[in-house]
Amino acid sequence: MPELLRGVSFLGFLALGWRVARLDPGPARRRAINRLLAYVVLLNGAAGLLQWDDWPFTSHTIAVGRARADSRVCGTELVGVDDGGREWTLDPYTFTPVYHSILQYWIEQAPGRLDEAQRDRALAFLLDRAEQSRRRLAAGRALGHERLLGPLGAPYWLLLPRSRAAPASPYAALRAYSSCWSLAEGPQLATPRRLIAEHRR
Amino acid sequence: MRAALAAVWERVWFRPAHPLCLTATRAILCLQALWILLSRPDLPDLARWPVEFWVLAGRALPARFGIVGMPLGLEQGLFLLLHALLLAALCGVRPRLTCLASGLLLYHFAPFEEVIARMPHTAFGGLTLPTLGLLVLSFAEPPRRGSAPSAEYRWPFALVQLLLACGYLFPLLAKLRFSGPGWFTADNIRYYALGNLGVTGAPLAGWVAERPLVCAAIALGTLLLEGLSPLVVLSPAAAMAFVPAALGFHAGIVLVIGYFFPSLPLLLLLLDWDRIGRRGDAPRPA
Repeated sequence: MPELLRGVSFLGFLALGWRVARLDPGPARRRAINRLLAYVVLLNGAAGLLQWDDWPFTSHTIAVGRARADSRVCGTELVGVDDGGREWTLDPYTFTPVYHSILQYWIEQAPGRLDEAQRDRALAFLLDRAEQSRRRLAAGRALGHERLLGPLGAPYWLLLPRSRAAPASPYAALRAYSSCWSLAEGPQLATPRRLIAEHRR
Repeated sequence: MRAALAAVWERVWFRPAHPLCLTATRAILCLQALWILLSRPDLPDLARWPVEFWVLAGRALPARFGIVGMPLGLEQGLFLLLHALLLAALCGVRPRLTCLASGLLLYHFAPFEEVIARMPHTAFGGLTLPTLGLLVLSFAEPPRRGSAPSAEYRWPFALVQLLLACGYLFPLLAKLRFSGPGWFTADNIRYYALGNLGVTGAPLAGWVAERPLVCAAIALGTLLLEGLSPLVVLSPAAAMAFVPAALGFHAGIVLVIGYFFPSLPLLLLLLDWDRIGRRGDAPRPA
């Protein structure tokens, strides 16, 4: 239902705009423009005031929490494992067009909703993607936003550290680890990494 | 009171503006969209991802954007078409039609990057304003070279500027709602810097975290910049002053917490295009 309402809100915007576009200059057109302006101001204002995202009428919610000494930061690290068992941190653009932090949401929340066969299929796909990106990196080619525009490409907004090192041999496995740390202690005192997903060829 | 509000409404939306306002807006939005799309050449590839990856998104959310399991070849074709339409709109070819089609295809493709996680930050992907802005331009009277300043060239320009300003004002409202005024304190900025030091490794995070006065200045600067952002719609002078302040703000964010702002070029929308156009029209001394 909420998605239907959101869809209708966008269609309303298009309908009001269409009406403006069809009218010749005059009082009727001015009234139609006023209705379109009022609609966009109210809809967009509601998204912002109520923090009810209705993209592209959006609430722009980012970095809104209060950070404290005891705040905990948790992250998921994805690694590829080569034939010799060595782990390689994967570049955040490995799974392009899906960025690391977005895949992190999926890895933290989705596997519990899938049965074992579905999980295996999904992780096998990710391992194949990691392998494709490994081949690109090993050949000295760029990933993600640098693929066409080089350094002029627009990066994803979250600037995670890049990890362009890749083994010469294919990945034999993919692993996901989770760990947390508190702001007061810092990442050097993070909890031990916990293996949350693994897939082997 | 009502008459005063009506006068402000009239002044903001309908005081005559030079056609360059719309020509510049269209060019900036098209170039921004092309920059982001060329930086995301793999977007249509999401059509290849197995059904398991859609478990969080469900069906209704993707369907809202026309993401309904179309074949990869069709998505790739539409993606190429979007580039061509943006180029055509940039060059002023059938501007209403090309802006409308570009806006609708941006509405389809912009969510691709994050839809599997229910679009937590699509607003920051750099395509939000081009999507809405190009649609607004498709409703408006296309600008004609040499035509006189008109209200027809003001309201779409001012609406796009307002939507840009909301990108600054709404984060302020969100901070107040979820954290209260305490968000704007040195301590909060310090812990944001420390938190992101461990995630993004932002180069100045550690330096800033050790300096309470710098943290307090960042907190106050954020409050002022975000709080005063609506003035850009009311006053061209305020808009011009906002541009360097916002540039410094975004550079600081990259250096202190490691968040890039892909919509940065859209600050060009705040230049006084009306004045620039009128100056260009003024007869030059012989």
